[in-house]
Amino acid sequence: MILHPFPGGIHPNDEKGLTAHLQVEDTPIPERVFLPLSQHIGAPAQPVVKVGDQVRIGDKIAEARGFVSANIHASVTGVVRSIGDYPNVFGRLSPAIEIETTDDSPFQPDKKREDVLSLPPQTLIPFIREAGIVGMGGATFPTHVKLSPPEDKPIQSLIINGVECEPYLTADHRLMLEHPLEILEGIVYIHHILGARFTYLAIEANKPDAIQLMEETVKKEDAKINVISVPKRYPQGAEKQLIKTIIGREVPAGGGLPMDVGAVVQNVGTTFAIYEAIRWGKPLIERILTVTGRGVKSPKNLRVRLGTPVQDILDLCGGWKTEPGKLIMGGPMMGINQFDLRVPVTKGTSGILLLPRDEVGEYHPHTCIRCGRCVTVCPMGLLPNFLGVFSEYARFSDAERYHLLDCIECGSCTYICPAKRPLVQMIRYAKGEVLRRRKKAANK
Amino acid sequence: MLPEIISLAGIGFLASFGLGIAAKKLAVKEDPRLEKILDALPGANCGACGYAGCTAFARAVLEDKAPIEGCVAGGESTALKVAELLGRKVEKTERMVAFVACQGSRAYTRQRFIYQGINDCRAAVNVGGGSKACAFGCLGLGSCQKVCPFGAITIEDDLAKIDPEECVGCGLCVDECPRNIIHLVPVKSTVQVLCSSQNVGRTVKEFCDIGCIGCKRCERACPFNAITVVRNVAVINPQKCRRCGICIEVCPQNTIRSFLPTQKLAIIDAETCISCGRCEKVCLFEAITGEKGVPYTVNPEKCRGCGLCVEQCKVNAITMQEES
Repeated sequence: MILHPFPGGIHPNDEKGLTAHLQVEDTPIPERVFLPLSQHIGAPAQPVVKVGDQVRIGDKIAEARGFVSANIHASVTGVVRSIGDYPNVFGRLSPAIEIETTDDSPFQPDKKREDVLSLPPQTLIPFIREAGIVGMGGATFPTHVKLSPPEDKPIQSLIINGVECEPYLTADHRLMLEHPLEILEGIVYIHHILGARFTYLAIEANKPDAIQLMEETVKKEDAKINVISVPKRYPQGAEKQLIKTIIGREVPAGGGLPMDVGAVVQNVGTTFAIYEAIRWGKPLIERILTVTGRGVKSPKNLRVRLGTPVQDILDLCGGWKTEPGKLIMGGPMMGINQFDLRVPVTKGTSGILLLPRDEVGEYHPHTCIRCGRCVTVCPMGLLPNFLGVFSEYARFSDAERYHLLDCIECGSCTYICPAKRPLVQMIRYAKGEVLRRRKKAANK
Repeated sequence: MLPEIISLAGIGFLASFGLGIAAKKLAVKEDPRLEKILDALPGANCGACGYAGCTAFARAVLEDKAPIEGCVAGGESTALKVAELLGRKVEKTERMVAFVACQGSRAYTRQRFIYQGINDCRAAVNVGGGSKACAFGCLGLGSCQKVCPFGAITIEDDLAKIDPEECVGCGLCVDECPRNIIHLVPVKSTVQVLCSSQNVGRTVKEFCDIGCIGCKRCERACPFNAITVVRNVAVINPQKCRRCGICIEVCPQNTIRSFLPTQKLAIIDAETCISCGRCEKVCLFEAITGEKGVPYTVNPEKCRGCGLCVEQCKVNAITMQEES
């Protein structure tokens, strides 16, 4: 198949060897979990339990508020201890439900649903919405919204994203190696819902074992899925870049969506969750994540209950091996720095990365030297150099004219910049200011 | 030689004739008062009035679209000058100044992490909510300083300080602060709570040595009911506060401070005093003593300059003076 590579991109050292060979381990059930009401993009969920209530694993404890929102389920059996502010991944406080575990019984699935493919496609979406499934690659967009495209936007291509281009992370890789059949079935369900003409499973070329296994599985099951090996490049796994690579169409700038070019992209983790939700009626209560980096004593791939505090996971992996440098939720490129070990694992946490002190650089940004390397690596075809300068000099309307809001914040420009300019932070700051100004203008 | 001179003079004559006509015919009638109003305005073009600059504001005033006292930067004196030019009257406005309700400098407030990035508060709050542990604390990276057109803000020890002399109360910094801890207060309200933390006391103590813990001691101690604790932080009502300073003394966290240059003191004029004793009764601090028939006296140790006695005195014998 002819691929259509996206422009730009970078080649960071992927460091996946630390955990790629490690079997996913089950973690012991945490003593208490903290489930933030906002683990997704959209309106925070509304709690449906009270302090003191007994909840069983898999019970719905917070209900989606509106269409773009997601349910939240108890990830352990226990008692609701509090509903209040708790540190979140973004370094702020946000409402969360605390459950103290009283019973370590595992989730008991419903009877296996056998007749999935004979059901009308639209009846499958409520299963997904009930299960509170969101995009598990990290963007956490509610999946049922993505799977309900408007009628005037027919979906031709379904792309399953097994790229995992973030360095260090191996959660999706391990998932494909250990649950190929389940993922395949999940893909079949999504295909059934969308009725897409083409179905692709994209895997980055640095996972030959996963590509081979998935190809064999597809052949054995005689499924109509194209397993595609995409070249290794960051950010190959970003939605718009993946669509460009596979079907050669660009999602329109200025707020365009994949469905505008007839595509839907789903992460393999999400696909697995969809399989579990439809086949077994299992809500999203756990996920696979990678604990890695040279700072951690024993790197691991773990299946973790949502809401488990980072501290518990750190203890499980032996804690810091070296002097602590940075603890990042997610990958090194787009992950978020943490400074509070109470922060819980949420639906979008794909990894916990521990960097030792000597791997964390200290940067003293210079002025832009106009080398243009950020322009050549920007996968969105933007001019990060100008965006950075505009942000520095508070020329936000100019930045907006240079398509500031189309930036996907992948960090390629900051990675490549020889002047060590914090370009993504500048862009993010400018985005905030532009949105603030818009809001202000709307209020006037 | 001669033809050149004649032709040049001819061109000059024609051009001047043309210009002369144009000046008469095409003249833009500008209100002569506009220039005068512009002279009276500070000319900083700060935009705090809501117009694009001083000229736009002056025009709006002339067209009666903007209030005369609309120039925040110029304050009362400018309003009076403009009113005089237009032959109108202004209502007295109270001068407001911006004030940073935080004193969590580096020495007192803890940091959550080491921040390396853009030197700007609005950019810093996007990274983990800012490095200062308290979510209501001044980040001290100077977004307000950059936006201030009057150079009234300085940053010392990770803390913004506003010079009330330089500040004109335009409110640009109030909008800019991502933590919303800059407020406009009347310049006369010199007793202030230097904290905005809505956290409960226990949390405040974790983050900061000198934050308001919402203990309500000041609320109970205030003789004028000027203080209320709202959402775990004390708020002083400037209309009620008489700057007696009791709250400053009872505050266990040293969060309330006075910015009075000197303490005021009541002085009773012995010749005018009729020894009625009303001032003694009203004084909350037992600072005034006396007997019938003898002029009353103020104990300067005890007087707190609240001025209650001045209001009570029927013969205007009491004046407030700055303590030397």
